[in-house]
Amino acid sequence: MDYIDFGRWLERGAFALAALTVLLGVMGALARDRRFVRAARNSLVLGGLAVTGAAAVLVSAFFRSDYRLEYVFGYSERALDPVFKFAGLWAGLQGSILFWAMILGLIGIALAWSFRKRSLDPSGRRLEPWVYVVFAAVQCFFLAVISFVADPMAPISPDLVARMGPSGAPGGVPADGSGLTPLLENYWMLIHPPSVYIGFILYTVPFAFGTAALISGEFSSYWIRTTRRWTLVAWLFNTNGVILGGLWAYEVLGWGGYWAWDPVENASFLPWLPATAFLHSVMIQERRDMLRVWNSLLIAATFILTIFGTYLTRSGIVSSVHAFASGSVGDWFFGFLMVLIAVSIFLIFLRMNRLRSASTIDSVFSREGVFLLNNMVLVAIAAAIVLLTLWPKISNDLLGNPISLGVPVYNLVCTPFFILLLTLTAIGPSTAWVRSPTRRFVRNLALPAIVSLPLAAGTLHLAYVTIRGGDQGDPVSLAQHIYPTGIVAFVGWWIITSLAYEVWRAVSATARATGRPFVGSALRVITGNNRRYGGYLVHVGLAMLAIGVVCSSMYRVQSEVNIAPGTKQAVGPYEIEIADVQRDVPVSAYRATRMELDVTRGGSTVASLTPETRFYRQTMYRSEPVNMTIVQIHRQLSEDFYVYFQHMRPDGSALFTIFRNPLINIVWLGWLTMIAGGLFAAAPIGRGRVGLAA
Amino acid sequence: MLRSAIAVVFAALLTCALAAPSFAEDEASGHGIPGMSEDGSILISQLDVDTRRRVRSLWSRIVCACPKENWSKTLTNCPDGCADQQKQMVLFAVRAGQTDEQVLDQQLTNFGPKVLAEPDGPIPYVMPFVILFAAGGVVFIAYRNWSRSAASRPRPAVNASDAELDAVARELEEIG
Repeated sequence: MDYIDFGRWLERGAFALAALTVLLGVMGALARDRRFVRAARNSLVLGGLAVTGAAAVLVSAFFRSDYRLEYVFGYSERALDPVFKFAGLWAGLQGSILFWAMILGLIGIALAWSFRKRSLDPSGRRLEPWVYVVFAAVQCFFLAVISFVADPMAPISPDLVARMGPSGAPGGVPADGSGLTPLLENYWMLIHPPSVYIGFILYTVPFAFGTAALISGEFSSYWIRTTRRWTLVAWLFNTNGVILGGLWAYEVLGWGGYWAWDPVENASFLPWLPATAFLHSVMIQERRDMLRVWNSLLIAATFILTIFGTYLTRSGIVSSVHAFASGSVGDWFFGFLMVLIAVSIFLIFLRMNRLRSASTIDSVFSREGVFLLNNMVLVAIAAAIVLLTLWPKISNDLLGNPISLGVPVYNLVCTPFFILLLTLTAIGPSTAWVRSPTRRFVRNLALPAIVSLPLAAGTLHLAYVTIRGGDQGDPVSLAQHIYPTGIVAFVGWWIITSLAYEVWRAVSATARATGRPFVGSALRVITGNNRRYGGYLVHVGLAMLAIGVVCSSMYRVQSEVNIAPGTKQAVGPYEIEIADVQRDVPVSAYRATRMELDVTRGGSTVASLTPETRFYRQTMYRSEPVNMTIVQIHRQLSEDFYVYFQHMRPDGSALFTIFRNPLINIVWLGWLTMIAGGLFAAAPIGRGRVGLAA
Repeated sequence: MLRSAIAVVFAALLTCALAAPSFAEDEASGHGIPGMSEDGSILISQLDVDTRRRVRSLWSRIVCACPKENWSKTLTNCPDGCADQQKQMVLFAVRAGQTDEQVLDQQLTNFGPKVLAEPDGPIPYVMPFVILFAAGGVVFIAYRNWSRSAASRPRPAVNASDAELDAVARELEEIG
């Protein structure tokens, strides 16, 4: 048996094992027989190993340059760097689905292992078989797509071989592949897609637990604790994936920005919204045993949106450079989506009476009330983004009016929602459970608000006057200084200062009560409740990100600069000069035109940048020539000096587009702060209290 | 096992977060620009500030017609050479004194209705706010039902004052 045939057998075997897991889980649950449940667990593990083996076979085919497989031919070539051969696993549609199934399989193994330790918990024991059923049912879907519709181990099509002729494909096998799109030969290709996929896939676990709870009627605190932990880990990967996507776009696409509301960007962001809502509202369920229906809906919505996002990229219904639609895969995903929605709604209605709680929200000015409003805004943002993403399709197919929607529309609609969300983020931590005493509530927020005003004004002055240089480039109107720039900067600082005040009060109270020094008290307070203070750090990161986004977007300076050799051009406080030009330099797979630019400021050299263009010629295996440009970025905490080489002009001068992005690195620092906060919140330290509803 | 798994997750995420900037030297890859510009093309830098701003505003309202972009980008964030001709059309039209509407009509004539990056009608602008208000209505109704339910239940003999709640909150803070 050829190793490829073995790989195909592993794919089919994994599908069979997933189906068996479903069957054994159902039997174990209905018959209440632990033998069936253990068998389901073992089947889940074996299925995970089988699909991982299949993925390993595909990776092996990449490293062997085995172009008998059309997928390997389409995303690899002999000269490709080995790390990108590995990344070929997720570069295309078929491989990405196998990669998804592999991650799902590995998570299934972890899930089975966690149940093996927790199987003595009566509540967990009752949930376990149904968790396997739901999880394995999702696995069945992906493995069925691989087996019947989008097999990465499908042989190369005879038509493709015939087009290459005997010289290109001796013995019916191409001598080389068409290679990875040069745009993807980038270290981000190794980091961003796996992070997005892992985040998406991890949402399957809370969905499995939530659905299992609805099926079994088991609504104990065990379910909510477990679901929250898995959701937090998934949320971390999702957050990472979304931001890394923006960072990749910033470094690659050459337009000086990082988020263009591309449908696939939106798809990666959508699950983040209900997941964030869930991580907040689950606290209400933990403490006050409320919002069980709502939390069930959020968990289902999060997972459904991951499938929806996957459907968008693989169905061809939306226009995106990220999309890779193929055949009937979109129809399969649409069908799965409809089944998920129908089953989730049915189960929630079925259990509505069991889910309803006797507890109530006593005051809007309470933590529960603010969390509920926060949830409302997050869900509204998700609904807005879904509507705007699908509107061109709806307008074209249902209204007969083909249109497109650009960034300004998204910004116009979504900005008020985000400002509202940030405001609630500033208010929320200062509220108390059940009811906030009015005077205390106002005092906790008023002082930080007063302090935030000059901080926001100072930030705007720093970004606009000091860094940007005032009216460089396109002028910014007073209205734009206020909305959205000033308002976002104020609310961002309000978040930071109100949290700082909150922490200071808690630490001071502990220091007074225990007699410890301030630093010791701070360590005790923060490490004693890492969930809370990790969450606070996430909020600080969000505030930093918001301030960085608004300043870098609204105060960006764009200049088109034509530089003749031997001359200097001024761009704000900088001067740039071409130090060297190398034209048409042959490199392994392309020809390059390279520049060496000296960037000076105040007479001192601050950077030496080397923008270049690359030309990949058309070959027998590469069906189209490819041109690409290497962006060069000089990074500073205050701003980025971003150089995009447009082209050479007939007179020998070179045309560049140069962006100066004030405070853009605060965006990335904010992201890192969010991740650090999330990791701290998830860390198994502190007292690990669940809350009164445990 | 869970703690070990969490430790692995920490390491993986920290590695991603820390490794990315260290790779991010001043180098990345992007889209491509072919060949040389035609003689007679207008450089946006040659225009006055107000006209430049008007041109960039127009670019943000016009979708890039490059086939490989598939109507997914506006001219603002489509730096490819294939968008140069479309951008030059806008520049020439503006310099010839055409109004914004005339410029957009020219784009419509040349590239069809998908070239405009704005919806035809108010629905996409309005609907998200309708959703938000509807959600707010649901929350309001739920809160009112909760309030009525709470009012019908026997209340404790003593209502806590704000000062007492304040003291309880301070104690809870000290506990953590």
